[in-house]
Amino acid sequence: MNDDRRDELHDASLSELYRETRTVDPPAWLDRGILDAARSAVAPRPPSRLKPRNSRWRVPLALAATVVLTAGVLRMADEAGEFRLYSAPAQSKIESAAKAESAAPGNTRPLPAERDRSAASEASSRAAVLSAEVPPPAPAIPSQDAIKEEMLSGSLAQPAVPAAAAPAAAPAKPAASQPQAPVFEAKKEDRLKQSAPMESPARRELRADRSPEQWLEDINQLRRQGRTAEADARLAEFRRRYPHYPLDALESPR
Amino acid sequence: MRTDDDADETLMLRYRSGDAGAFERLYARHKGPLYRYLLRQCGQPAAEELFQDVWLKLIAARAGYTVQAQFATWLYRIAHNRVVDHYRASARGLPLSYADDCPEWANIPAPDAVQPENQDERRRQSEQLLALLADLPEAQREALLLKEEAGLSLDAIAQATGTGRETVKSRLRYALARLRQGLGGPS
Repeated sequence: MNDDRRDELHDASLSELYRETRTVDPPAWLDRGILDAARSAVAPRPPSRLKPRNSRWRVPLALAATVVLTAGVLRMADEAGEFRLYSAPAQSKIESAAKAESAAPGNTRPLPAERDRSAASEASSRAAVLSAEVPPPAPAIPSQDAIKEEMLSGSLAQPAVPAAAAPAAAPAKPAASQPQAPVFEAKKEDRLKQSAPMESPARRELRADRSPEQWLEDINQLRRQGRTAEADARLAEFRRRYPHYPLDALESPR
Repeated sequence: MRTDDDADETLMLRYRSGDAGAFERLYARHKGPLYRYLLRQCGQPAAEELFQDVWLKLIAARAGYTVQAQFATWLYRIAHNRVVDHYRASARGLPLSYADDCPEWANIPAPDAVQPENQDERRRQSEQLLALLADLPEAQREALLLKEEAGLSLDAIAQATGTGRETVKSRLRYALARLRQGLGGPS
């Protein structure tokens, strides 16, 4: 070898000889694989038409659906009385009692405004008591009088349920001939009935529903016992509640 | 002669920006030397796998590529690391010659001198050279291949192999002496 072409770290003759061996190249399949990988790595991805549209509308649609569902649920709950105070059913009870009284067969003249006011004030005061005693409504067992009243009002069209007794005397179930009331109305009735046992015994005594015959018999009893003042007060109350009921069964005062 | 637009680093930057054609030019320029480097270091079956791995690593790393060194230095740094991993994964482990102060260098017996009368033909000399190259310790052979195939300088070889410049010089010096001796010339 030529010493002029070589040094400690370079040998031109060896390099030249080595270059003659550089005939080997990677196989074609390797070339193709690597070039394909390189191209696909930088190739622009085909834009999807559906994906951007979906992602663009996904959030607004979800929000709109949420708002609609929430409004619907709130409205249904409101109609079902879920969010009302206990005084609201009492007010509706007053109205239903007034309607029932005005629709009674024997009641041909309009209800006195004074009686409406007193009934409304009494009912509202009871509603206030109920709302103050809220919540836990205990299961109600209807009294014998209430059951009797219901039977009378349903079959014999007993006139004018006293407004004061309206919450307890209201029919638990609509009559078969009447159109089916909405479910939430029945719920209101149930709630009102369940609240009734929370009243004091004295108020319950006052509110006890008696038939006109019993009422008159009581007055007769008082008169026989000489308690005329009390009997007169009862009679006045009876006349106020049953202004058209015949007083034939009433004994004359001694 | 390569212009600035045709430089390896420029092509790699263009490929990073999405120019697949730039990669094709880079690949065509470096595929042979890299393949032969791997082939001489690891043999036929492994060379193909390692060759593919190196290019795929480069493709994957394109986004973070910055011109901090010659492209060839970066490419062969990836290749060197892959070769070392290959050695470590083998039953033999990392060859002793990769130690910076390998004491065996001086004790490795030189191959028998090739009879000059049998080396008349140039082709046979080339074949003999390849045989001698294959007998070199791996680290010395690698240094020579990086110089001859990749055309790296001493500093670039040191950078690609993660060794010092003096170590590279020692390895090259030893490799050349062994080849000269094997080819029948003065060592």
